[in-house]
Amino acid sequence: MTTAAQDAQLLARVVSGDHEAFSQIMKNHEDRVFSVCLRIMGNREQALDATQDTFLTAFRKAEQFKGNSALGTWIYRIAVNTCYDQLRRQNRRRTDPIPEHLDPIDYSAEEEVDSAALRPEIAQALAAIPPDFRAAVVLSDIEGIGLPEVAVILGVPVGTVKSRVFRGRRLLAEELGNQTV
Amino acid sequence: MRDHDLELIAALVEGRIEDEAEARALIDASPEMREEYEAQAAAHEALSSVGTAALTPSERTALHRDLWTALRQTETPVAHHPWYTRWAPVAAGMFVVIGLVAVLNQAGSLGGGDAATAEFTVTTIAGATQGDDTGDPESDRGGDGGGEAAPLAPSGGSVDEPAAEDVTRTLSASEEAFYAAEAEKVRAGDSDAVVLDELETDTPLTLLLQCLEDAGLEGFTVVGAEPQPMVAEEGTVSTVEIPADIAPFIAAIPEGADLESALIAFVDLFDCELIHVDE
Repeated sequence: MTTAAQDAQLLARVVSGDHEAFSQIMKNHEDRVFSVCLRIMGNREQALDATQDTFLTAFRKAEQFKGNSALGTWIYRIAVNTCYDQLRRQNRRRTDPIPEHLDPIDYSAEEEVDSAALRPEIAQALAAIPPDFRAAVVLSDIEGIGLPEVAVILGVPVGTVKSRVFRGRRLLAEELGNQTV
Repeated sequence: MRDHDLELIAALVEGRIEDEAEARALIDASPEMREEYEAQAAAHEALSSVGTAALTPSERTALHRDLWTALRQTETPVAHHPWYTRWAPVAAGMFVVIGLVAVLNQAGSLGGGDAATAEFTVTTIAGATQGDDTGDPESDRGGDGGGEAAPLAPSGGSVDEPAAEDVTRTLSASEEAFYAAEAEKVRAGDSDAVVLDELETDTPLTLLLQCLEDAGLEGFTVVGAEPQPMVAEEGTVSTVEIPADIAPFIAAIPEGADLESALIAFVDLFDCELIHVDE
């Protein structure tokens, strides 16, 4: 894990045209960005598209990063907004609701598949809750990001994050049909 | 339930409460609170048991490959040649030939049969030159042509509208605000002011449509354009103030679309690239 100063230095090099620096930034953050996109989009292919778009945007807007937050936070913010955009486009182009089967795992694949895959019922339940609540619980409960940082990523007050996480969990529990311990 | 109570439950679920006594007492005192706590705890536990997902090796390779391909396309310098420079050789060639025919006619060296031959010659030469020139836009753009927007309308098919993601140019906040405001003016019927007055040269419609095709907008038409070649009148003066950092542009909509609700595409008049899409 890089320090804030190291990240800032890398980004400064990116702005001056250093592609190696951007490769390093990608290496530092691509798995977490992909993980966030996967949990929000619910589909590996869409998550890969969102991940690519996230880093493309980060590269193009590198000079706009002011250092008011950690670089990772800034990149995750781009990732969440990218996922929101993709979900909006999907909704515009479809008449069907988001498919129930999500995060398909091909066990016949030769490569080792990510062992942190969502259980189908959790994936289904996540897909059923509104994107705003989904992003909040993904960042907070799955990715383990603290509420203040989640607030920066989502661009909302901490109180709003707490509310979204609370309501998101509630809806998730209802979807999972699990009301008792 | 009060906000404070919900905050206590959340803190208990997330393990960030030092003294659990108050929270436990709250839960024990109310079935509603207990139900809420159990739902929160169940959801939190289910989500927390899932770790961070990771890219597979092949996904990582594909991601890097596709990303760097896209970045190279973005960074490829685009030579800014105003569209009319591509047509200048055509115009020059036509003028030369037409001028030659006129001179020969005046000299009386052409009979009826020869005049017909000369006319055929004019058409042939102009057509050949034009054919050469339409090949130029590819090389003018630089790179391997990957920077162009892919044709958005299949040949012979219906218009496929572009979306925001088809725009490869990154706009500043002020530029985005400008185009958003321009889109409103276009929809309000101020299209003549937006389009015609901003064109400072004679601009036959066919050339504008060629520019739209270059931007991948087959099946689109220029807003405010007459259905025939336009000729700017003498003394036409731009009545619209364009910010210094905004290049001359064309506003286009799908043919036959209703202006008030249509998607509006803005195309750079210099290099015929898609600048912005207002949906």
